[in-house]
Amino acid sequence: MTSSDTVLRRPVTASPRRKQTLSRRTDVRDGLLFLAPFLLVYALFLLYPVVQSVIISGFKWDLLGAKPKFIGLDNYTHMLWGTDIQWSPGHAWVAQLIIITITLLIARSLFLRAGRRRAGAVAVAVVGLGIAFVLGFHPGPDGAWNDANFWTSLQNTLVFTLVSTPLLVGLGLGLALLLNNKRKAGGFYRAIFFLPYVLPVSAVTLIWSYMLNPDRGLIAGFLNWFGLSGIPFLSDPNLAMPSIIVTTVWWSVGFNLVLFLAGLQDVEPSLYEAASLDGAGYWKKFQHVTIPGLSHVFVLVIITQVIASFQVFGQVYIMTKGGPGTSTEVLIQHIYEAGFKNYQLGYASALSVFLFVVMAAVSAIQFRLIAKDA
Amino acid sequence: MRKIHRRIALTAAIPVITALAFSGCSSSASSDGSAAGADSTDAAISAVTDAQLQGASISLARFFGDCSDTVGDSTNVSTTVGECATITALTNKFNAENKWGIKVTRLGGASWDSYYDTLNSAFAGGTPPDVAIMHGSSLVDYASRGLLLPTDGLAKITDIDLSDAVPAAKTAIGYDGTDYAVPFDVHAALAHLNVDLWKQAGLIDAAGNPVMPTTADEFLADAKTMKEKTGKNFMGVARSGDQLGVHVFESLLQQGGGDILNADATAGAIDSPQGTTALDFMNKVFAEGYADGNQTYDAAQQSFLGGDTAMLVNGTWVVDQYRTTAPFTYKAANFPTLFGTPAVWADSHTWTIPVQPQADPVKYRAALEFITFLYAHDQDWALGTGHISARTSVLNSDTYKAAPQRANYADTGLTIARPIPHIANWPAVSKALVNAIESNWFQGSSPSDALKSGQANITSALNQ
Amino acid sequence: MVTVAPSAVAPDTAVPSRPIPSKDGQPPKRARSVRYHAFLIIAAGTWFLPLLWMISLALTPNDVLQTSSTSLLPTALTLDNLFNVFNAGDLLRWFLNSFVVTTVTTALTVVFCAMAGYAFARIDFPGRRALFVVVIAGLMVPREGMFIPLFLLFSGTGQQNTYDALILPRLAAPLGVFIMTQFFSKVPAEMEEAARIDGATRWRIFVSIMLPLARPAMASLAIFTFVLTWNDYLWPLVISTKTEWFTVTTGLASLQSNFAATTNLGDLMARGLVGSLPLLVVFLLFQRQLIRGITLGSGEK
Repeated sequence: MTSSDTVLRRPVTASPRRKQTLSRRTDVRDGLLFLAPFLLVYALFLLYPVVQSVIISGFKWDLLGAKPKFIGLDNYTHMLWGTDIQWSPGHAWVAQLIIITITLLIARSLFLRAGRRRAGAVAVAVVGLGIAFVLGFHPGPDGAWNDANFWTSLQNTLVFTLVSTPLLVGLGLGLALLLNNKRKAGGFYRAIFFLPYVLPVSAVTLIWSYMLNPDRGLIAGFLNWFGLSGIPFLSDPNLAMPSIIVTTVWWSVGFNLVLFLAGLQDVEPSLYEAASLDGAGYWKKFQHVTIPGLSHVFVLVIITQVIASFQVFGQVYIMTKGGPGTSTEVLIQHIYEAGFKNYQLGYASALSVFLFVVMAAVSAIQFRLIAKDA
Repeated sequence: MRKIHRRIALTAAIPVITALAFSGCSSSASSDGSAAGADSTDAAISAVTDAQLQGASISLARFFGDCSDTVGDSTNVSTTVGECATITALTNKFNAENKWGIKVTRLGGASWDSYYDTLNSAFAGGTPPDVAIMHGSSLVDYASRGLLLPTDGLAKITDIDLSDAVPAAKTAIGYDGTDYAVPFDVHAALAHLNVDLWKQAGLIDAAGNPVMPTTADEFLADAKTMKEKTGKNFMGVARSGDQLGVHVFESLLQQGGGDILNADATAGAIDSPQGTTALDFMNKVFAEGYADGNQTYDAAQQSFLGGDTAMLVNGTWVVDQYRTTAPFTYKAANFPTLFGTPAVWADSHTWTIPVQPQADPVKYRAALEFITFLYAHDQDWALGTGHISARTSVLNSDTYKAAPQRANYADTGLTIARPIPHIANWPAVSKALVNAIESNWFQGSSPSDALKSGQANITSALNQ
Repeated sequence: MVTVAPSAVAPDTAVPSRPIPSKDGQPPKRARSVRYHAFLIIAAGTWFLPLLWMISLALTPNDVLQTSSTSLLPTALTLDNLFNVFNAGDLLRWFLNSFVVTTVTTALTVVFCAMAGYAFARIDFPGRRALFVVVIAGLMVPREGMFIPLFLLFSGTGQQNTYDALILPRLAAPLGVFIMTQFFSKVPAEMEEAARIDGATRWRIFVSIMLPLARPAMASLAIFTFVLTWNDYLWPLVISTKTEWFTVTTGLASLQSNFAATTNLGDLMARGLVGSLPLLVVFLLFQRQLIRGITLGSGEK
């Protein structure tokens, strides 16, 4: 986190007297003792699983018995490769074009800023162009991906993330701006928007599965009122993912709202006054005071959101089980099914490692891009 | 409160740390309980005395749903309707009437689609249930890993007559020449008819019975007539969020002489002329509006029961439910044969006894007594649900023949049913098949692309 | 020029309202206020609608719902569905599980994180910075994706269907450490000095000076942890194979299969409502702490 340095950079205690009372040795001892309980659970239940995932991913590891067999990188080839895979430059040209354009724009803006950002600009360019290059791979006329579902679920996860993140960030910010004042009932409104966030995912899906039901749902009832017939939101492949996104937005926008509200209240009031004195209108102030003042909240919200979206599971698994077809199948579900339906823990772990690498990369890039002084 | 924390922390820390020390080596228990030890296990189970069985308690894992609140403690299996109520009453009956006081407790409220996930997880943790239901199509994965007790020997102990099992059921319980379960039924897809609508459309014979189409063209013509005369859908099937739509495809594929796998089950075979014909035909039915392609199980059923569908393709499991609740003249019929050879998707429910790490012969025996009881009451199951009995003697009995609707689809059990492939890795193969067909229905793949990539994916799943 | 609506600024806060330039041609303040509230009432009303509908269905008899469930307000009232929740099924047991898991997890998380936070913020020992970075790096680990090794760890030692399995993995919460470290690093050094001179041990200082100071931060962390733990879905789904070891969250999900839903919609919604009730209560009582918990996690205040 950006603030890791700011937290620790403060001198802990700099009093000359402390050396007399507490020696360096007791510091070491106390430090370890105080950290011991947390570090133990942290090592066991967070670090160990990460390491173990990498190890298991090198094995053909059957959930139900048969002895694990070391197979090197086979799980990764199964995941990432196929038969008769070819590369042609413009295979997914729309996506490639978009990625290249965005990459170059970002790299350019980074490059034009302070000199020490140049390394960042190069890194962004390399990663972006690398992705565009990788998108050129595809199975030839007689080929197929080894695990086509992996690519589908990756694509669905990306779509979910890329659509829901801007919605959640935008709506959260919009509501925060509306509620950031001392008008009456502000707390009441905030409470209403925030309320769904505390519900368990299964209560949320219970509500929304029926809200969206074409025969028995509230939305269908509303449509019937206008003489329209119900829409099968969750069983129409084009509407299923949007429905899940809407459900997610309803559920969790309150979280971002709260963060943005807190951020807004930290913006120096004097800056607004100064801007007003300069004759700035609302939009100018928003642009030059609010947005820069919120930049650290943006970093946080976007990172939290992307990390959470990449791990989306409950809503999808309960509401559609990944269907219709594979139109809503997501990565975590694919991991779950590889492990518990197809008995392949080794392969499931390889998928986990992939997820881990992607998320680490995404977080790193986000820090580089958005953080004030990364 | 603090005491609880400490205890939890302590009890947890020890085994977890031990596990760490042996990190990675903690794969699941029980890898070879196969034939070698079977004889001695059988002997031990056979030697269990009545006294030892007194008050034994065993756990039961099954799907079919939870209806303890409606059935309560009732043991009256003659009045129950539907899978859930019937199996609950049967279990109650065993608990109430068995002479040893064996108590069967049901585990898990898992719905049918996540049943195997939970079961796998229990096997992996070394805590499998004492009795588990399995589809014939899933049994191979467990039998081949030595996770199930062979039943040929056990059958002799309690006089289970497995030679009475109908061929489809007999296939379902076998793996590599050995039986690993006791069959409970054969279930298949049927055509559930709203006779009133068929009458209205004039699609009946002199006796007033619906006349089923016998070719694809007749089917489409009938569907057109139905639409014109009544405005209703000719067919209904749960295509979204359920596999019944794919089961229709499988059935039509096989009617044309095609199959899901090649003859020696080493590769997929859906990318065939028969596959294309079947898929094209289905697409036409949906495209012409003769069936609603977005129906879920719930929606398809509601539409049928609400009188908006002339023929619902659904399993044998709803015959008695529809018979008793449909507000119109209901008739169950064989799934129509449209491409020459009669064939329809079918599977079996079977009862298995998982190998236990403790291998307690008393529990094994109690489990055996329970599944012996269920096999003996197979007729109650068949009559309560609509499933086709797994036993020849039941199918030939007068009671069964006289039961409502059963004669209408007797042929399904005798000749039409095509059990799905009895192979290892069926979950992965099945998923590849379903994905292929659904990629055409829901994701815009052309039929030829869908079948081609589906066939490749099936082959790849087979060889994992 | 700046005009700050007089009603908009409470004297004790430095938070301004959005400064509204009063130019000519703008509608009068009252009209704008009406418009503002009208808009927000509609928006908030829409947001609340799904929840209201669940409550309404939970209060409607099942047989009424068989024919129509698309009305927003109950067409007939009953409390049977709510009573049924406690009569039949496993919901009570799920409640117990969720309650035990959530309270123990919350208590242990808060204690462990407070201790670790104190060590990181106030004790100068070698490797402190490196360890802190390692802990914070844990924020990037996709927790949900790492369940296979955890599953092997617990199932391999026969710990499926136990409270241990449900609780322990949740305790590795780097975010909590971050929050507490941040809090303790802002406590003025003088507070500790006096106690040190008196020769108090580190543990005494922690317990009698630091913890009382940290009470608000701990309360926020606790409430936040409570909500997250109660709502945890994937891990309990993976590690509990028996119904009696489900939590409210996984149990409710298990009720939502195709087959169960058709007939007893009212019962189902009642279970959803009752299952969410503890969280709604927590929300009503501790909204402030919860919100602070979230903002603390962001390194805001």
